[in-house]
Amino acid sequence: MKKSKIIYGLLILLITLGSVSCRENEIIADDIDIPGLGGTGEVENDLDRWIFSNFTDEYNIEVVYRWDAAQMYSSLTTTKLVPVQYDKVTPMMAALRDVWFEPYNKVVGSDFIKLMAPKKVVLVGSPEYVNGAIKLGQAEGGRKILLLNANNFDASDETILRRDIQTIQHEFAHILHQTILFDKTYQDISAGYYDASGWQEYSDEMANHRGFISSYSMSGKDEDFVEVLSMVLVYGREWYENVVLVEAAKSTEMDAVAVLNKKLSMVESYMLSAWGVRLFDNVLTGEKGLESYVQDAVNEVVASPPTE
Amino acid sequence: MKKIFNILLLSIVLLTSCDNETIVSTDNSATNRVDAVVKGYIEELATAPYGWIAEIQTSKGYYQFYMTFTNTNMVTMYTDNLMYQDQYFAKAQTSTYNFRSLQRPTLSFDTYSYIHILNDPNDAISGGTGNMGLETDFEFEVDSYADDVFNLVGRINRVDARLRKATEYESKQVETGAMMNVLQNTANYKKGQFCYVTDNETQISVTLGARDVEIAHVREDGSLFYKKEFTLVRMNNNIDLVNAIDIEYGLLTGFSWDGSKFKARFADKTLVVNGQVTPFIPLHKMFKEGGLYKELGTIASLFPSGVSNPLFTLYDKLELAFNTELETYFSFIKGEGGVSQLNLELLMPAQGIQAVYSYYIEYNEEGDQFSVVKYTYESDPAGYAEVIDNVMTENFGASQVLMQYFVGKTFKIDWAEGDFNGAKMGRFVQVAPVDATAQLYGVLL
Repeated sequence: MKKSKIIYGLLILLITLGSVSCRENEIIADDIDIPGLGGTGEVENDLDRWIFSNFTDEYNIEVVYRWDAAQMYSSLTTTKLVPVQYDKVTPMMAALRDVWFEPYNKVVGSDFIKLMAPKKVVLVGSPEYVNGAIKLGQAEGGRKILLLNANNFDASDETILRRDIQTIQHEFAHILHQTILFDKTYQDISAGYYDASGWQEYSDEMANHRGFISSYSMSGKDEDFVEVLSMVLVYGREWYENVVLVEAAKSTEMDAVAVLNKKLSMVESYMLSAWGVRLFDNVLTGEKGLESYVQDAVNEVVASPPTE
Repeated sequence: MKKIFNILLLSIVLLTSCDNETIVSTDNSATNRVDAVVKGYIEELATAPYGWIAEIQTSKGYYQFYMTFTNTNMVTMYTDNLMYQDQYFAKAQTSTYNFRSLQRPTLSFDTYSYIHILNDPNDAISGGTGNMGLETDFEFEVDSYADDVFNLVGRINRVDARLRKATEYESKQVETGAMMNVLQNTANYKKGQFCYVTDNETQISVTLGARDVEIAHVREDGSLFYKKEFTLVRMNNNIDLVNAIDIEYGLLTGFSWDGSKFKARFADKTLVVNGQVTPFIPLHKMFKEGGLYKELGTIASLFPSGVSNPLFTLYDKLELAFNTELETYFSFIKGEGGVSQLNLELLMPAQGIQAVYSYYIEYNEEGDQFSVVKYTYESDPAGYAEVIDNVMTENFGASQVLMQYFVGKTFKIDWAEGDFNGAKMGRFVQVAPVDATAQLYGVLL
C-alpha cells in the first residue's frame, strides 16, 4: 500500500513536470519581412558586392558606408558630420587593404588580420571638428574602427595617404594593446610629461624635445605607445632617425633621444613577444620586417593607386 | 494496477496534447504596415515620369534640387548652388538614398551628394559658419504625402522641406542649366539700380536676391517698413515667396516674369518692378541694427582712385605700418534712447588679428548724421585695439591715426555710386568741420 502511494506520487509528479515542460514550437512564416534584417534593406549594388568579396568574405569585416548616425558619431556630440561619397569608398578601402592588411599578411600570415582586425569599419565623409582640432578616427574596443574624413582621401597624394594610414594604424594599434597589454613600465618612461588637456599647445618639435614622437603622443601613455608604433610604421625608420631623433637631440632638458629609443625598443619587443610580428628587417637573415613592407606598400600605392 | 494504468494513459494524452505549433507572422502588425508604406514610397519616387524637385530650407534660404530615383536606392541630382556654378552647372551626380522606417518613415540621402555640400562642416565647402554647414539636414521625416507632394521635416535641425513631382517642362529645363540660370537672372535684375514698385504714389523698395527678397518703404510718419522673406525661383523665372508678406500695401505673394520684367504679385493687383539709378530711401533708415544693411565693409580698393581723401591716406598709412591688408566694418548699435554707438571692427586677416573700437556718438536721425564724441576699447576681444592704437600714435602722432580721426567730427550717412559685385555702396562724408574730400567708402552688408 505504501509502495503504490509512492508510485502514484511519482506518476503525478511526472505528469506535472511533463505538462509544465511542454513547449510550443514557433515557426516564422515564410513571407515575413523583418525591417533591418532585409525588410527595408538596400538593394545590393556593385559597391556592396565588391565590399563583400574583398572584406566580408575575405576577412569577415563589415564595411559601413551608408549613413547611419548611430554608428557614425564617436560620442554624443553636436558636431556636424556628413556621409562618405559613394565613388570614394572603393579607392579608399582598396588602398587600406594594400597598406594595412597586406604587410601584416606578409609578416605573419592572413590569419592575424582575420583574427585581430575590427569586425566593422565605418566610413564617414567629413572629419569631426572638436574645439578647433579635427578628429580623423577612433577605435572602439576590438570591434569597430571609425574612419573620418574619407571624402578627402587621395591615395596618389603621399602626404594624405600617410596621414590617413597613420590614423588607421594608430587605431589598429589600440586594438592590439587593448587585447594584450604592453609592459606597464612603458608608462614610467615619460611619467610627469603627459598632458591630457594641454598637448595641443606643443608642436611636434617641442614634443620631440620631451621624448615624444608627436605632440598627440603627449596626451597619455596609451596614445604615446600607439603613436610610436603607427608613426614608425607609416613614416618609416629612416624618418624616425633623420627627423625625430635629430630634433630630439636638440633637447636641453633631457636625453630625449634615449627616451625615444627606449620607447621604440619596448614597442618592438611587444610586437614580437605578443604577436610574433617582427617590426624591423632582420639584418642577419635579410628577412623583411613589417615596417619595410608598409613602406613598400605606401610607395606602390602612391605610384599606382588601386582602383579595385 | 488499474489506477496506475489510468494515470499513465492520462499523462500520455496530456503530454501529446500540449505539443502545439504556432506560426508567427507580422501580418498587419505596425512593423509590417510601416514597411509596406516605405516600399510604396520608394516605388512612388522611382516611377515619377519626370523626376522630382526638392526644396530644402537652410540658413541662407531654400535650395532646390532636381532628382530622379531608381527602385535600387540610387538617386541622380542636379543642384542650384551658385557657389559651385563652374563645377556643377547642369551636371548630374549619382549617389544613394533609402527610405527607412525609423521613428517615422525617413528619406535618407545616405551617401554624399549635392545636398551634403550644404551640410558639410567644412565652412569653405558649405559656405556656413562654425563647422555646422548651413544648419540644414540630409535625412527627412515624412510629414505627409498627398497630391504628388511629400511634405518633409529635417531629422536633426527640423528644417522645412518638400519633394514634389517635376513637370516635363522642368525636367527638360534642368539639363540646360535652368536651375542656376534663373537664380542668376533674378539676382542680376536691373543690377546696380534701386528697384521699386509704386502704389498710391509711394515707392516701395524691392531688393531681389537669389533666394530672398527684401521690401522697404518709408511710412507717412517717417518710420521705415522693412521685411525680408525667403523665395523660391521657378524654372519659368517666376518667384514665389515661401510665406506671403503683408507690406502694408497688400499681401505680396511673389513675382511673375513676363519675358522682360518682373511684376509684384498681390491678391488683387500686379505692380511692375522698375529700377532707377538714384536711391529714394535715405540710407540711414536702412543702415542700422536689425535693418536691411547692418555693416559698412571697407577695403582699400573701394576708395575711388586718384582722388585726394584724408581718410584714405590714414587707411593706407595703417596698412603700410603693419605691412598688411586691412578690412574694416562699421556698424551702428542701438542704446536705450536710440542709436548711441558706432562699432569699428578692424581685421588683419593674414595675421588673424581682430580689433574692435567702440565710438560713442550723437545720432541725428533727421539730418542723417552722427557726431563722434570719443572711443573706447570696451568691446575689444583680445586687446589688439589698444596695441594698434599705441603703435600708430607713438610712431606717427595722434593726428595720423585712422581710428582717432573720427573723434570730434560729424559725418553724413549717404549712398555711394556704383556697386561692388552687385552689392550697394555707402559712405560717411565729413560735414563738420566741413571737408567734402573726407569720405569713407564701403560695401553695404
